[in-house]
Order: sequence, then structure tokens, then C-alpha cells
Amino acid sequence: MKHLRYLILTLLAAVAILPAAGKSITLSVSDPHPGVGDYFYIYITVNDIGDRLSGAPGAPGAKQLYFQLKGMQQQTTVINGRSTMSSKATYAVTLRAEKEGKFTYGPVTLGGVRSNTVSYTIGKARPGGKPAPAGQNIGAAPSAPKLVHAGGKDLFLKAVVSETSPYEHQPIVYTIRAYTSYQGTQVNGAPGAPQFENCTYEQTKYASTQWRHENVGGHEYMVADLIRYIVFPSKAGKTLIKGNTFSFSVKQLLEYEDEFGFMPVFPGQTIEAKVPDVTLNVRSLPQHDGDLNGLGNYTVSSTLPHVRFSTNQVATITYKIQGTGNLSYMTMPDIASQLPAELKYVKTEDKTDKTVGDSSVSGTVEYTVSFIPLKEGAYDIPELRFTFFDAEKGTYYTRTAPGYHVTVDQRGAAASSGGSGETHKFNPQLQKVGELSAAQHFYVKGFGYWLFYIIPVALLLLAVAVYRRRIKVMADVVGRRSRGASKMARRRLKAAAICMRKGDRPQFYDETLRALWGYIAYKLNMPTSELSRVNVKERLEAAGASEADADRTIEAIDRCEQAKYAPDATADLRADYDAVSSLIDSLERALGRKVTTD
Amino acid sequence: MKRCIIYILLLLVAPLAASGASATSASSADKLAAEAAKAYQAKEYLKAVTLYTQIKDSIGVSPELYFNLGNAYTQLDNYGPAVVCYSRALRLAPGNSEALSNLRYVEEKVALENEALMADKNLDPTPESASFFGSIRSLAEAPGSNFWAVAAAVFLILFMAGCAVYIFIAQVKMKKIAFFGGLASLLLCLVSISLSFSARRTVLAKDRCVIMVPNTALSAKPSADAKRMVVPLSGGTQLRVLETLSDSVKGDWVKVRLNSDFFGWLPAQDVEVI
Repeated sequence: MKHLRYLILTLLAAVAILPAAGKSITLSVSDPHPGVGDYFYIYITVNDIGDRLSGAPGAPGAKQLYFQLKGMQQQTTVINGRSTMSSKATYAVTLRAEKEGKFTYGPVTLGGVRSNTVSYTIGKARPGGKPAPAGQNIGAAPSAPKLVHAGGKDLFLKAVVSETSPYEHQPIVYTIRAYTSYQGTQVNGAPGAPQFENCTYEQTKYASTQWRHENVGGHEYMVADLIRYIVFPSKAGKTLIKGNTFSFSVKQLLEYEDEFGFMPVFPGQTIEAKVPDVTLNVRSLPQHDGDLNGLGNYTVSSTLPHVRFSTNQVATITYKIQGTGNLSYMTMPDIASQLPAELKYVKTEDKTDKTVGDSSVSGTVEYTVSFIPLKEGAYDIPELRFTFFDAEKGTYYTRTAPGYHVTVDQRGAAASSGGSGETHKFNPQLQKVGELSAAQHFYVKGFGYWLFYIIPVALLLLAVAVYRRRIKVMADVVGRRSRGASKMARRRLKAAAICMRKGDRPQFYDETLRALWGYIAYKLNMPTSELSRVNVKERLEAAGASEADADRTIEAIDRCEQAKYAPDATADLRADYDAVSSLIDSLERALGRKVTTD
Repeated sequence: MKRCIIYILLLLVAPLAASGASATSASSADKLAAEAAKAYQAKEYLKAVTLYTQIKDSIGVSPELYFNLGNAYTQLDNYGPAVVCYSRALRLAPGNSEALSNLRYVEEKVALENEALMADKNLDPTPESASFFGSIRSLAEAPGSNFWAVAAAVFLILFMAGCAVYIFIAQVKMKKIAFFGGLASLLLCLVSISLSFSARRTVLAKDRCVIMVPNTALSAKPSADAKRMVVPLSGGTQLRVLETLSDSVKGDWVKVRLNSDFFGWLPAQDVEVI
């Protein structure tokens, strides 16, 4: 049982290993002792591996010239109905020994299979070279490859200009052209553009990437135009265009012959080439009287959408200048000064649409002129004269855009642009210049203005104070009566005086008594019931009157009563009147104000 | 004693001399004004501007002088100075309807020019409208500071009368009328004084300016090298002044605003503050 297990395992291993046993990679070297400068080979034999080698690793101490598949064999075998296929591929790496020393090449791995390594020792250079050793089992006796043909290795640039003596602002074409004799040339580009002194320029899209044959000086070259500019010199005199530098990736053809046949090799490298400088002699424009609006060759047209306008409404007219030339060097003729004063010029806007062709710049420049009609009426917009210089013909030309006859109507109020919809009219009449002052005067900053506030308030306060005092006084009835006593007495004495003049004695004394009693009653605030001679005397003396005045008062009362009730025709009315008057004055002095009559 | 007499004589003569001097300047102003009017009628508007400006600079100003100067500028289609002159005439005499009408006329012209400058551009040259309260305030301040000062004085007198009636008159009905009438008059007096001061502050605020050059574009920064707006504003456009800058290196600049599309800096020499 144990033996059966071992047999099965062995059979299984054999099945697994047997197919792998066919796969191999073997390295061998044609000359294990080359000298420096000698050619030798390393052969790579690949058995039963489906993958192909695309290249070989570099060999230390030697330069690989080329790598190639030299032979391929495939065989199919059928045994007992079971077919097996085997293959064998042989690769050769052609090397040139360059450095003395002992080196090892490999291993090479392909399809998971590793090869062996081979060693070789490079010795000193041998004069005349060493023939390859014989006995290499490779199908033919190996020999060193021989360079039988080398391709061209020339590359230069040229700057081609369409005109070396252009006029100012005349467009010229500047082309950078490459000439090469390399087998393969690829343009890597240039880090910067040429330097155009005193020029403006436009880069065209033109570039001929197709290399064409050209014979230059008896030699065949491949030629291509790398880049092209349209240049506009802006200043008369010598103008330098300094060339830039281009980088190229080139491949030179090297053809070798060995026992295997002819073998072309294209070693590549990167080189630089500079464009030569170009000097232009720029000429001034010929003398010309009048304006110059452009350089090139143009047509001029104008567009006015309609010829009827409203006042105070913006209108536009468009002038189109179309042609070929220096579109950047173009100015609009002065239309503003040519418009009638009633068509007020506002602004001009320009729009340029240009196309940079292979050898020229063409396009259209549109000028849109805005204006505002100010007054009703009919007006003429004059024609526009556009003058340009055609450098190719060396002549000035003037083209004309037609003028227009326009009509302006009064703009309606509803169509006004004002926010409220109304249009205001201008009043040109002057006003009479009034009084002039240095600065604006504000009332609120004047002292007089605030005085106008202070005075009335003060007056009002004064009036209020007076009024309140009066009320207070009026509220003091006793005091009022007391103060009114002399006034009352004066009134009575006045009536008495009238009676005295009339000679009406009874009435005189009546009035006089009333004056006396009334004065005493008011002054001393005595009710009528208390008015007696005794009380009167007491009260008078108590109020501050002298005893003499009190006695005189009683005497006066007595005399008046007596005269009233027992009239005496001889009584001196005047004396009595004066006596009472002076008495009351005296009492007033003692008790209050003086009484005055007449 | 002698010196006293001399001083007294000087005190007496000085007012006469002053009145004489003012009479002289008044007569020279009349003469210049007559010359300017003559030049204006003869369509020599530039000469009229020169003469009116001479009066303004050497003698003094009046609303009518500003109006006439504004008219001369308008005839020359120089809308910036015209707007300044009409605005100043209205500040001196808010009731000058002719100045207001001519100002509106010039503003319409300026609006048209701005419309033309902004054709095909998605920009709006309409000035920002004031807020509700700003509009109310402007409307209230329109009659002028002196008008409200006089109104305040009148209301004060009415208030005084109301107080007097209330104090001195015994009738209850009259007292009531006087009380409420006086209170109302006092409130109106206070409001009028407030409006008078506010109107004065507005006049002296220097927060509005006018573009004086034919066209100018706003800059992003107060520098000659700063990026400028593509579309300029026409002369005569009125702007709100936000800030002023005076720099020895950069020069004098004014930060202005028309609306959300147009705000930035302008050289001070391109504008004049009203």
C-alpha cells in the first residue's frame, strides 16, 4: 500500500515536471575574450516558451548595436494519438566591446523561466580587430558587423520674409523653414517666439508638417515650414527680427552588414538649431495731405436702420470697413465734428472681427456712432471719407460711405425716458440778479432769531406774573376795599364839588358826608352798624392816625351833619370842602395813599 | 479829548464808508450782470459764463445768479457745471420753480447720454432711489431751512397765544381750545425747528457731487493704475459721496456711488461737491 502511494506520487510529479522540463532559456557568447572595439554576439535560445523577447538587457562594458530574432523552429510530435508541440527561438544581441574588464551578462527571464549567465572578458584593443572565433553553432560562421552606409546628419533653419523693405505698418510674412538630411526628424518646438523689434505681429495657423524634398546647393534635403507670422513694422528705419532656437529629435541612418545580412540602425539624439536674424529696411509712408485712416485694401459701407428719429432718443449709424491689411492700425474718421449741431454726438464704439490667414490678415472693423437728435427738423448726415494706403500698389485710396438725409420729430411725452413720463422744457430766460451775499444765511444760526423766541416768552411770563399778582390782590377783599377807600372818597368829593359849584348845599354836604363815612368804612373795614363816632375815633387811632386827625374827622362829620340837617346859608362850602379834602389826605398819609381831586 | 472826538467821528464815518463800499460793489455787480446778460442774449455764452463767474468769485452769490450761470452752461451743453449751478440756486431758494424745471431738463439730457453710453451693456445708470424715510425727509426738507425757521416762529406765536388764552380767559371751552391748540402748536414748533436744522445740515453735508468732465470711468481703487470700469459715466451725473481721500502720493480721490452697478473712486478734479 505504501509502495502504491509512492508510485502514484511519482507519476503525478512526472506529469507536472515533464512539461516544464521542455521550457528553457540558454545564453551563450560568441567570443568570450574580445578586445575593445571588437564586435561579438550573445545568443539567447528560448525553448518551448510561448512568449517572445522584445529586447535584451544591456551588456556591461559593451554597446548594443541591435537585437534581432535570428531563427524560429516549431515541431509537432504525435505519439500514441497524443500530440505534443515544441518550439525553439534564437535571438542575437550584436555588441561592440567598449571597456576593458571582466563582465557577466544575464540572467534573462521570460515566461517565468530564468536563463543562465555568461561571462566575457574585454581586453585591450587589437589592431585590425580579431576575427570571430570559429565553431559557433549558430547556423553560419559569425563575423563582426561592418558599417556600410551612414545617412545625412545636417539640419539648419532659415527665416524667409516676403518683403525686406516694407512700408511702415505694411504686413509682411515671416516664415521659419527647416532643412534636414537626417533620416527621421521630429520638431520638439521652441521655448519662445522670435523677437520683433518695433513690430506688432500675428501668428498664423499655417505650418507645413509635411516634409518635402528640396535640392539645396546640390544636396537633397527634407524641408518643412515650422511656423509663420504676419509682421507689421511700426517704425521707419532698420528693424531687427531676432531669431529663436528650435529643438529637434533626429535619427541618423547607419547601415551595417554582417553574416546575417544588412542591418539598418537609427540611433537617435536631440539637437538645437537657431533661426538666423533678419534685418528689415522699413520705409516711411509716402507724403500725403489729409488724414490717413488705415493701411491695406478696404471697402467702406454704412448702415442706418431708419431715417426718421424722435428728439432726445439715442440713434446709431454703423460704418463697416472690410478688407485685408493692418486692421489694428485703423482710425475712424472724425464724424463728430461733421454731424449737425442738432444731432449731438455721444460716442463711437468699435468692434473688430479679424481672421489671420496663411499670409495676410483680413476682416471687418465696425464703428457704431451714437448720437441724440436734439431738435425737430430735417438734417443731413454727411458722407464718410476713409483714406488708406495700399502698400502693394504704393498708393493712397479714399473710399466713401454714403451720407443720409434724416428727419427728426418731436418725441411724445409717453415715450420719454423720464421716470415720471414727463419731459421738461428748458427755460432760457434769465432772472434779475438779486441781492448778493458771500454765504448762505440760515435763520436758525442767527442770534436775532432766537431773540425772537426769548422776548415773547419773557413777556408772557411777565404777564402771567402780573396777572397772578392781580388775582392775589383781588382776592384780598378787605385790602381792596381799603385801597379803594381813597378812590371812593375822591369820587364822592368830586360829586360834592359839582354840587358846590351849583350851590346845592344840601346835596354838597350829603356827598361830603358820604365821602367821609365811606372812606372810614372802607379804610377801616367797618360795617355800617359799627359806624359811630366813638368807634371811628378808636379805630382811627388804632390804625395809626393821630389823635388830632381823629378829632378833626369827628368834627368834620359833625359839621357836615349839622349843615345837612340844619343848613346855614353862610357856611363856606369851599372851606368845608377843602377841610374834608385835606383831612382825607392826612388820613391817607397816615393810613394809606393820598387823595387828589379836581 | 481830541482823541475821543476822533474815535467818535470814526465810529460815525465807518458805517457810512461800509455802506458806500457795499453800494460800490452792488453797482459793479449790476454792471457785470448787465454785461453778462447782454453777452447771453448775443449767444456769447462763454463770455456770459466768465462774467457771472467773476461776480460769484469777487462779490457774492444769489439764487438768480446761479440760475443764470446754469443757463449759460446749459446753452454750452456743459451739463456738469449746469447741474451744480441749478442745485445751488435751489438750495438758496427752494421755491425757484424755474431752476427746478431747468435742473430736471438737464438731468434728462444726462440720463439720455448715459443710456447711449450703456447701449448693449447690461448696466443700469438709474440712480438709487432713496429709502422710504429718506424720501419723506427729502420731501420735508425741500422748502428749505429758513422756511421751517419762519414756520417754527409762527407756531411759537400760536403757542404763546394759546398759553395766554388758557391763562387769562375764564371760559372753559376757550381754555380747552387754547390748551390743545397750544400743545399742537408747540409740537409743530419743535418739529419745524428740527426740520430747519436738518435742512441746514443737509445743505452743508457735502454728500453729493457731480461729474464735471464730459466722461469719466470709476476706478476700483484710488490709484491712477487701478482697473477702471469699461463703461464711463457722462458729465452731469449726480453721485453720492461716500468717502474722500487726500494722499500726497496718490493725489485726491473721492469714493462715490450711483447704484449697485456703479460705485468706486474718481479723481477729485473730475467732480465737484454741490
